[in-house]
Amino acid sequence: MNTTLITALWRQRLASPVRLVLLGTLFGIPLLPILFMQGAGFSVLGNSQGLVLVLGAGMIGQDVSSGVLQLIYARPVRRPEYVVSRWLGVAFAGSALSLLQVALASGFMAAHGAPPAARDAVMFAGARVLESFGLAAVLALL
Amino acid sequence: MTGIQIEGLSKTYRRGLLGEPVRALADVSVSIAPGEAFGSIGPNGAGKTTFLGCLLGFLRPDAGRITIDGRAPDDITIRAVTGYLPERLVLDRWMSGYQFLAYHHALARLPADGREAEVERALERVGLDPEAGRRTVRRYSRGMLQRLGLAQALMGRPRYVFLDEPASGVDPAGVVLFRRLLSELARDGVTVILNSHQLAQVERVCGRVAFVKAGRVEAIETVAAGAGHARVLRVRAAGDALGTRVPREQLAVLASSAGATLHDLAPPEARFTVADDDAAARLLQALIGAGVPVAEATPEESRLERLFLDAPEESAS
Repeated sequence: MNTTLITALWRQRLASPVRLVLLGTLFGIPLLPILFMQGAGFSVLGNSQGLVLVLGAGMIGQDVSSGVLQLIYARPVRRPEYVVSRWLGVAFAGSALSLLQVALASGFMAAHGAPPAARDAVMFAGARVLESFGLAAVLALL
Repeated sequence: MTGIQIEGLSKTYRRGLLGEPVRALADVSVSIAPGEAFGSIGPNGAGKTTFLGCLLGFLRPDAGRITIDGRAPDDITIRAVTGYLPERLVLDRWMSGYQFLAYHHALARLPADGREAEVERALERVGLDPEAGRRTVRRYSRGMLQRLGLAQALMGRPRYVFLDEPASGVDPAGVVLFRRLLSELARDGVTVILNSHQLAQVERVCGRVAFVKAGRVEAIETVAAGAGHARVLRVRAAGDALGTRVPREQLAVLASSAGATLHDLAPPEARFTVADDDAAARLLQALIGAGVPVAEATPEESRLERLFLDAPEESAS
């Protein structure tokens, strides 16, 4: 794992306005029913695939097609190190957004007087983290 | 340090799945000493960039062997002491020049202490001011990108620097700056591998030059060897000495006595063909001895141009 590569990936992802709008949409819209409707549960949030897809699309292909990768490989960076760093960068970011979404949803449910069971929240959040790591791995290997 | 050893290097590409194979490199063997500045020149498509790609470990040769300090070119310890500037530099457009250099400083595993100062020095070294360093690279001109790319290649004082057409798209002031920086590298004992179409740049920087054509190294010459090649010498005299006080016939005799040949006369200039440096010196002595006030004597081609023109016919095409 190379923290320089991971940080650069996050900054690269955040530099795209289109990606930011998509992430905001995928993050915010599923929270609206929970915010405004009493009784709406975690199932409204769905899975984290959309967030990971938007974060991870072209995570390696973009560097290959633009030619940026050549300069990175001229540095003391092994190919597996680069791929793993891209994978972890997307997986960590996807997990963080998923967990934040679950935390906000839990807060909204509590505000409606019906907080989720701690076990349900942990199970749901855990499943989304695993999804993030799994899908990010698929995107890194494609 | 043992420098760069290349033995029997061959590389063939196939254009598309069913395309005919194209030979990019064929049986190239070169030994480059530590601290040497080595140039490669040749027409477009000669295989120079493929050669660099193999030296950097980006491309796997079909046959042959490359070692740098006794290790494979893609060895991490070699990459830690390597700087590279590609011909077509592509950068993440969202980064500022400063961020780009700091990123490569970190990738090169250089200590974070003093990163800021080192990046600022690198920008200054290639003639980019702090304001340019703060600008995102999408707002850089082609010449500024090349300057930034060279700063990146020199980050962390590499022992091996690979440069592919470094002055491409650079303005005249930049060309002079690049030449000075590359000469400094050669003086500092850095091993420089330079691909360039700019013969003057190669001549100033490199001690030896490979003439590459169709994937083959046609010849390797020391740049100093150009002194022993025939050339046309253009001599300009002050006033009306040439042609009037010293007529064409007398000039031809003077040239002949010095082992040179009068090529043509267009006062105040005359052009002579000389065989080598000694013949040029004898000719000038004879002219001055005959009362010709020689104001200027310049060869029509540089030493490297002479080598290039005298190289085997196919390599000079």
